[in-house]
Amino acid sequence: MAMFYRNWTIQIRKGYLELLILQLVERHEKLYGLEILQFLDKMGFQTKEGTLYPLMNRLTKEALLKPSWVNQEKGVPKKYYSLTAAGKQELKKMCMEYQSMNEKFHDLLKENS
Amino acid sequence: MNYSKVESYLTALEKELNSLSTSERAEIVLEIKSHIMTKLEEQPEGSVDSILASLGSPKDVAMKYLDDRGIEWKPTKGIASALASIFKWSVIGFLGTMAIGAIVSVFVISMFSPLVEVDEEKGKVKILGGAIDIDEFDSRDVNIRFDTTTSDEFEEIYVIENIDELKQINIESASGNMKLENGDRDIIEVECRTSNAKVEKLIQRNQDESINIDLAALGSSRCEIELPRNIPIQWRNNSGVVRINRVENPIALTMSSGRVQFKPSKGVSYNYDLSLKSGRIDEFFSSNAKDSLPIKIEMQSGRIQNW
Repeated sequence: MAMFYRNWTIQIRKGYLELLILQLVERHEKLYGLEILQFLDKMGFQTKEGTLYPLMNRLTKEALLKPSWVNQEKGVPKKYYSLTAAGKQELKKMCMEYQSMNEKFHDLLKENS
Repeated sequence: MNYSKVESYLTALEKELNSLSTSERAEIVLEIKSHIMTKLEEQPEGSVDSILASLGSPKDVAMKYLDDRGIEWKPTKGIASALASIFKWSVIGFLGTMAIGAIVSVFVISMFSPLVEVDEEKGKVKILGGAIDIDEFDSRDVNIRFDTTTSDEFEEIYVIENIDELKQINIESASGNMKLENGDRDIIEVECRTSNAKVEKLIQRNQDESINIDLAALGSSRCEIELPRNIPIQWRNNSGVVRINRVENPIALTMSSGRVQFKPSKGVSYNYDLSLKSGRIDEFFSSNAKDSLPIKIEMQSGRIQNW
């Protein structure tokens, strides 16, 4: 059973993580990978960098995120991500879907009680 | 800071990503490198080991990138070929050792020959092919030039924004060993071994839409420069060895003495304008085609080799 719960958590977190990342980038306009990891960490949604960067790469490929490299005063340049127009539209739809799912679940809980 | 661990991690990651294109691999590796460096800057108490450990093994990271794209991960080496591989590498190892021995002998002999050269006119004595110079007229001027510049590492990566507006790249270098190559991204990457790595930034963009790479600040050093194609390069170097490896840019290089090794890029035509006051120039095939890249090299003394 523990295995089932673990797999279920992985699955549900995966879609939720994408939503959180897009929402974080929307709120802050542009963020680089480590900042996103730190925000997720603060929210109690610890994510491994080995998970985040491949995901950012895919969201870029899907044209939801637009990366831009920015030179720094010191050290290596940073790769910032912002939402594309398509990314903003998709995020709106994703938020609505998530909220409606959430409401349905709450309604169900109420019925049960 | 332990650069070598970071570099070997990134090299391994790049290998594991072999199913992706060169530019995609370069982009991923640069982002992971930026992550490691930023984390080290922001959390100086953290160690390279712990950062690499929390990233996961290069194979695991690569598999996630490929999984997310629906690409199957390909092992860099099959298990079945392990035995054959041991035999192959034993043979290569043996032959390689012999070859390296031979090359080193030839190199040492050519580098340090002639053993003693006396120039009566100038009152100079050169020992071991010029590794030690003694000037008769100025006894203080005993110049020993064994390579002692490999003690420290310097690295800078610079992203070129609005590359279409960039008109020129200027390189200033003092002496040592310089290698120039093209990269697949809009970045300039400089990696040096030097005796003075205290400098923080060598690359900067000017208002006239040119970029300066000031390697002279590093003094004598051994550097590798990677930059994008097509942008004209104006390079001033004092002395030493300059290797230009399959570079597809118009180049104007001036230096006082030393050696230039120019390796043309396949399928690209160049128009050479080479001048040397004393020394030898190899044969180059110069093209007058409209799209040929102008290569201008001016040197007082030394050699220009078709490498």
